[in-house]
Amino acid sequence: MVVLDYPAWLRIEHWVNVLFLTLLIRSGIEIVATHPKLYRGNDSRPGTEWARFTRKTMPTDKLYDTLDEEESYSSLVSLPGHKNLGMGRHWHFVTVIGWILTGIAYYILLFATGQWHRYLPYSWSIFPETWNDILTYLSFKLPPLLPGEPLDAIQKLTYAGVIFLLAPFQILTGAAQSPAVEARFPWYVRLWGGRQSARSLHFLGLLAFLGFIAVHLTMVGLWGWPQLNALMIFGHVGHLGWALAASLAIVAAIVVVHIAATVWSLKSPRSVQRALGFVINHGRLVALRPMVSRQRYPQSALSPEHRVNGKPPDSDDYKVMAVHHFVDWTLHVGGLVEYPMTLTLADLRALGDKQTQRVLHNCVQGWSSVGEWGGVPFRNLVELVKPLPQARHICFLTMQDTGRDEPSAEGAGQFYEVLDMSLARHPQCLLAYEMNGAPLPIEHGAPLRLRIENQVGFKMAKWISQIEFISDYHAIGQGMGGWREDNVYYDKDVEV
Amino acid sequence: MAEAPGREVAVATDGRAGAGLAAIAQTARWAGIAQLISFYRYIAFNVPRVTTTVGIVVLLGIAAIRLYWLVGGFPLPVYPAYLGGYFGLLVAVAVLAAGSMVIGLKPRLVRLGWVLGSVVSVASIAMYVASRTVGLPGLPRLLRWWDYPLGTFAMALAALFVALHLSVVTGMNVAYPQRRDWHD
Amino acid sequence: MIATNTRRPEITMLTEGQKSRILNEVRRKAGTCPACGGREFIVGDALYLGFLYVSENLDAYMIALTCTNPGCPAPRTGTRLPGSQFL
Repeated sequence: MVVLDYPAWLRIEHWVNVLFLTLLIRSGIEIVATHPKLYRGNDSRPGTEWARFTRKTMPTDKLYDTLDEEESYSSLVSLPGHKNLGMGRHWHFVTVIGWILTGIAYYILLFATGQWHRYLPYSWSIFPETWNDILTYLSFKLPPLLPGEPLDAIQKLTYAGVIFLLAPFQILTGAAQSPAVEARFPWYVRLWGGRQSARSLHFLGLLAFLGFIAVHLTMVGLWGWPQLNALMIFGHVGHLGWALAASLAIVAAIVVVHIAATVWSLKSPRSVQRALGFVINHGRLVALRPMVSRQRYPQSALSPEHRVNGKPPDSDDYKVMAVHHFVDWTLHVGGLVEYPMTLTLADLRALGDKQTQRVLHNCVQGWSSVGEWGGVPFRNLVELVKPLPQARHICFLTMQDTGRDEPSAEGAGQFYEVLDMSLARHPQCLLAYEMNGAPLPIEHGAPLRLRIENQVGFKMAKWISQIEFISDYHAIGQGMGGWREDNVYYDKDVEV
Repeated sequence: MAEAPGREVAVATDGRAGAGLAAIAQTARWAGIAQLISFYRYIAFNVPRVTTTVGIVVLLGIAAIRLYWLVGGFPLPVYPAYLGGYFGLLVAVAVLAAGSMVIGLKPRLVRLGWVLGSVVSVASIAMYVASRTVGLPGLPRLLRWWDYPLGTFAMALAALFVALHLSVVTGMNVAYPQRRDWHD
Repeated sequence: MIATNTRRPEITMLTEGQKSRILNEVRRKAGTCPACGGREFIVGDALYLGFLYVSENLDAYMIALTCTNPGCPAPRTGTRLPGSQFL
């Protein structure tokens, strides 16, 4: 039988996990803050949420969007706090990568060394022993350790649950919130009861982790903080003074990392975006770029109320065009193409058979809705204009002036988004002029919006007026590949 | 739109102590301390059936334990008659309260049910603690007898009910048949 | 061709009475076409602005006007009116 002691790799993993888990929790709370409402199913219909973490109320006589609903949380509970979703996402995703790699290494080492016995029970007697432990704790006493093991029965079962059930549960419910995963595997979303149910479950997992941490720290305190920290730092009980000091030093170091991450994010978000984005993007493009959307939601799944983000162009020109059914609207398509052209809405409708798709829309803020979009497949337009070989990206320019139109957004300027050419030929990449069987509503991007279903919603530019094929996007705006990327520090490629 | 209160912290700025205080206030505001302290007002749930179900289960659990003690599960072979009367009363009021919470004929009766449930809970904790600390007439053997799991569990249930009731009273939760007016 | 049974969701179709009230208002204010200066228009549909735009009054509508001057380079224009004046 393996001696269940505290090898160095186990101790290192423990403290690395403390760092990663606390980063995940704080950045996760930042992500919740951007849409602090939890729902069930696939819809985010206003008023149907089962929990709310905001005191804001929205008007009923004016259009509001989910940017208005965004909350600003304290830096003490969220990373970095103060309405910084872009930063929160970067920290969350880079930590996820680290946590998963750490977890894989941990599983391998546990099973390779036989240390898995410290979590997985030797026999069914663990259950009556756990019951006895519960009774002992309820008697305000400490139960005995299992013979030859460093844990009692209920601790063993709890650790097994956290390491083999709760942690994978969080990863799996997290994956269910990736547009690329959902688009490629709609059954996976159904498995969790819907996109919003997955989000709610992920939140409940957060609460479970918080509960575990609270109980764990209490237990360590009751059983002997210096002794147990000596085990988890030195590997044996001894030098208790040093163990106490070392434990405080490690906690302080972790706190320092948190403070540094927070300050760096608040003071220099662009450098965080570049540094963390570099790591995350490589993982993202390898794991998720190959996932092409193949969604076919049934009619019954359509959301009764599809949420809105972004407010329509507040200009007289736009309003006059709208009241004339956009007869005077034109789409300029140009840049690195053989055949630049200008198209009207009627021209677009004439570009082959209309394609419709019923799909799940994922906003970066976390809400989702199911809608039916109708329009011309983007690849049809691509074939028409014939991009030159050096065209690697497509820039969608819109009629929205963010400073004028969107008071809740951080920043000003014309809204634009850049898409990679490789996404342009996806079967469900669409230029949509219809929604749910009627002309595209103004609040959803009339007369034309982009649909690219394996990406997060902000990429799907609305109120499009111009499409440019380009070789490099760094000279546009602030060079990050889109208005949100420039101003809110999101990544340009958002399969998650 | 309601916004989080962002109070300006007025500090004296004379002297180094003043400057130090100003720095602390600035850091606190930057870290969002005011928002953190009032965080409970940011939390609201819309699960009235779950809330009432949990409340009823907990309350009936408290009653069931007293019933168990009444019909022979008491850890001592005999106990004074007044204790039996107290157990019976507690069970009756708890069942009545639970019934009122779920039948929900009138909002006032539902609220009364919750209040009665809290009264039962507080009374049960008080009696249990009294029996272990100052002692109850005719029950000297209960003094300092804390290592009794069922008793600890009963106290935990009672505390849980009071916390749940408080969450309903403060608006964090709604209890059946109340509903949230979240229309936006 | 836009399908005739798929109306733009925000558009309100106007009755003849409403259209004539609007024309009277345009004439009273001596409205002119911004492209050619013409003063004769055909009234089209109305777009309710009050809900969609924070900057607009709750009662605001954009009314479609088409300039009747055959040589007008940009005949489709509009005017903003409160709903109480024509509904």
